[in-house]
Amino acid sequence: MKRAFVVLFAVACAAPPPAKVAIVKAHVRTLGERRDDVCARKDLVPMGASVVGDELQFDSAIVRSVHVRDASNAEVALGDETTSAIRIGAPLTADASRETLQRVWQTGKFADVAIDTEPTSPVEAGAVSVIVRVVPKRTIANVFVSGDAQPDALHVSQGSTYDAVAITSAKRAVLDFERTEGHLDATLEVSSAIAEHDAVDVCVKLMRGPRVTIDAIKVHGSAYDAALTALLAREDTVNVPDKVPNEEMLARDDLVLTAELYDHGLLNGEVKRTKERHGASITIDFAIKDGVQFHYGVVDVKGDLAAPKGDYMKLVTLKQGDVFSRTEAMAVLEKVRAMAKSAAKKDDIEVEPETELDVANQSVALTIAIHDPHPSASTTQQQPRGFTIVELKQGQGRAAKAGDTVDLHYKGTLTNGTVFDSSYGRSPFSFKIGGGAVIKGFDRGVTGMRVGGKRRVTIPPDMAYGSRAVGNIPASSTLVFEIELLAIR
Amino acid sequence: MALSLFLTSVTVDAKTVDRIAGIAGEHVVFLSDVRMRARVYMASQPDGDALARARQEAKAMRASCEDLIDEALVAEEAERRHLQVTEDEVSSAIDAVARTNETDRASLMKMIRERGIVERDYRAMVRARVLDGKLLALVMPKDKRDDLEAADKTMHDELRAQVYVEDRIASAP
Repeated sequence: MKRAFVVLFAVACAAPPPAKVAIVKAHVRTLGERRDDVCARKDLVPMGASVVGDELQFDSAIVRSVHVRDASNAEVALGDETTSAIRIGAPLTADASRETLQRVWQTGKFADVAIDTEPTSPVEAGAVSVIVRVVPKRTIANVFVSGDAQPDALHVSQGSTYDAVAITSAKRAVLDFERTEGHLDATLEVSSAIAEHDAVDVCVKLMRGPRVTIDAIKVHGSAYDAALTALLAREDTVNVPDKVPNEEMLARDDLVLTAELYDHGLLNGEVKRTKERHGASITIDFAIKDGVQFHYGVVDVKGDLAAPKGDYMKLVTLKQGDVFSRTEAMAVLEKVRAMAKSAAKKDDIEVEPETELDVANQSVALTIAIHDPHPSASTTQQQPRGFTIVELKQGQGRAAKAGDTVDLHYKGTLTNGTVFDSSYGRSPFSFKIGGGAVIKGFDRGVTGMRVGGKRRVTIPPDMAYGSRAVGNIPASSTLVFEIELLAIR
Repeated sequence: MALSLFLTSVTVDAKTVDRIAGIAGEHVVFLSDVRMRARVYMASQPDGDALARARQEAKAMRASCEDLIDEALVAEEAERRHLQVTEDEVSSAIDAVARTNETDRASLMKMIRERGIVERDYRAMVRARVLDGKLLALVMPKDKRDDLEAADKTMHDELRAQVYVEDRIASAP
C-alpha cells in the first residue's frame, strides 16, 4: 500500500530505492493529464471545511452551544477549561476543534472522543451546536490470571479503569524485567472482552519459561587468547557461569578486548561476539581476529604549543619501529597534556591523539595535537555563548571526528537538574558525527572525545532546539549532557 | 486487546468534524489529518466509477492512518535519539523531488497547491519522510541495506511492538 502511495515526496527518504523515483515520475505525468478533475475534488476535505489559500478553513458556522455528551446523549461533566478552545458566538475552526479533541483526550478519562456538529434547535441558518462526543473508559469487571502472571505490575485489578495504552506500556516493562532476570523466552498475553454493564474482563497470562544462565565464556582466534581470557575474568565479574547474561557488561567486554588488542599493536583487530543457546544455558563466544601488527611510524607533537617543541618531544618516548601500544601512547599523551597545561597556565587545553594507519607498511603515524580553545583574541573562533565542555574522564585512543560513527551513553538534563532523557538502561546511542543527525551542540560536544572518556557538555538553546519546545524540553532551554563514549566506528 | 469502542453519531443530522482516528502510544492521530493525507494519495489515483472511487478512498484513508501512526512513532523515537530535520533539509528534499519531476521547487509547490494540498501539510509530509530516512539509516542493520523497503517495514514493526497501537480507520466496520 505504501509503495503505491509514494506520490510527491518519495525522494525525500535518505536513500530511496530507484524504483520509487520512477513511481514519482509516473505519477506526475498521470496527474498532469487530469488536473482539473483533481482540483475539483472536494470530497476528501475534512467535513465542513475547505482549503483557502494555504489554510484549512471550516464553513463559517457560528457556534451557539457546546455540549459534552456520551453515546447515549447524556451530558458528561468536564471542567470548563477542557472545552474552552471552542468559542460560543465565534466560527468553528479546525484548530479549535483539534485543540478541544486533544484536551479532552488528554484527560485520560475517555476511550474515544469526537467533535460533532448538529443544527441548532430551533434551526438557525449559519449556526451549529457543537457536541463533544465521548466514550468513557470502561471498568475492569474481572481479572483472570494464569501462568506466572502478576497483574499488579500491569496495573490491572478488579474495579480499576481499563487503559489499553497504560497496560501495553506496563506489559513491555514486565517483559523487559523478566528478560533481565534471565527469562529470555518469557511471553505475556493480555486479552480483554466486553463483560456485562459495559465493563471489561481481562485475562493475563505470563509464561516465564526457563531461567537462562551462562554455561561458558569462550575467547578464541587470537595469539593472545590466554591473556584476553584472563583480562575478561578480571574485568567482568557479572557475566560468569551460572549467572544471567548482562548485555551492558557484554558490550563493555567488547571494548575491553579491543583495547587489549590495541596494546599489542593489533589496530585492525576484530572482536565478534555471539551467543549460542542450549536449552536453559547460553555460551558467550568472543571470536577474535588479530589482523596485522602495527608499529609506530612518525610520532609528532603539533598545535598550540606554549613551550618549545623540543621540550614536548623529550616526553615522547615512543620510538619509530616499536610495536604500537595504546596504553603506552596514552601515558605519553598524559605527560604532554600535563606539560601543555602547565606551559599555557590553563586547565582547558585539549590534547588529542591523531593516528594515521599505513596498512601497506603496517605502521601508524601518531600526532599529539594540542588545542587551546581560548587562544588570543585574534585567533578565537566565533562560538555561541554558553557552550562549554568539561572533561570528567579522559578516554583513550584516537579522538572522534566528523564522519565517525560513535556509540555512546548519555544523560540529558535541564539546568534545573531535571533529567529529560537518558540512554542508560537502553542500547547505546549511535550516530554519525557531522551528519546532521543530532542537535549541533551534541555533535560538537562529542567531537574530540576518546573511547572511555566522559564529558559534561552545556549546550545553549541556539545549538539545541532553539525556541521550540520538544517533548519534555521547554522552549529556549539550555541542555546539559553527560556523555560517555563507548566506541568509534 | 482492542475493544470495539467506536463512536457513532447519535442523530442523523450530526456531522463529525474531527475525532481520534488512531493511537500510537502516547500520541493520537486525528481524523482531520488522515483525511488531509488521504487527499494527497487520492490526487494520484486514476478515475473510475463511483464504487471504484469509494473503494480507493477507503483504501487511502486506511493507508493514511497507518502512515500517520508510523510517523508518530518515528517522530517519538527520533526525538529520543535527538534526531531532527531542519527547514533547509525539507527544502532540499523538495528540490530533489522537483528535480526528479523535471521542474523547479516553485512550480512543484504551485502544482501541489493547485491540487488543494496545503503547503504546510506537504512540508510536514516531506519532513516525516526525511526523518524516517534518517532514523532508518541509524538503526538499519548493514546486511539489510539492499532492501530499504523491507528494512523500513521492520523498523516500523519494531516501533509498533513497543507501544499500544490502534488504527480505528482500519478496524472500523
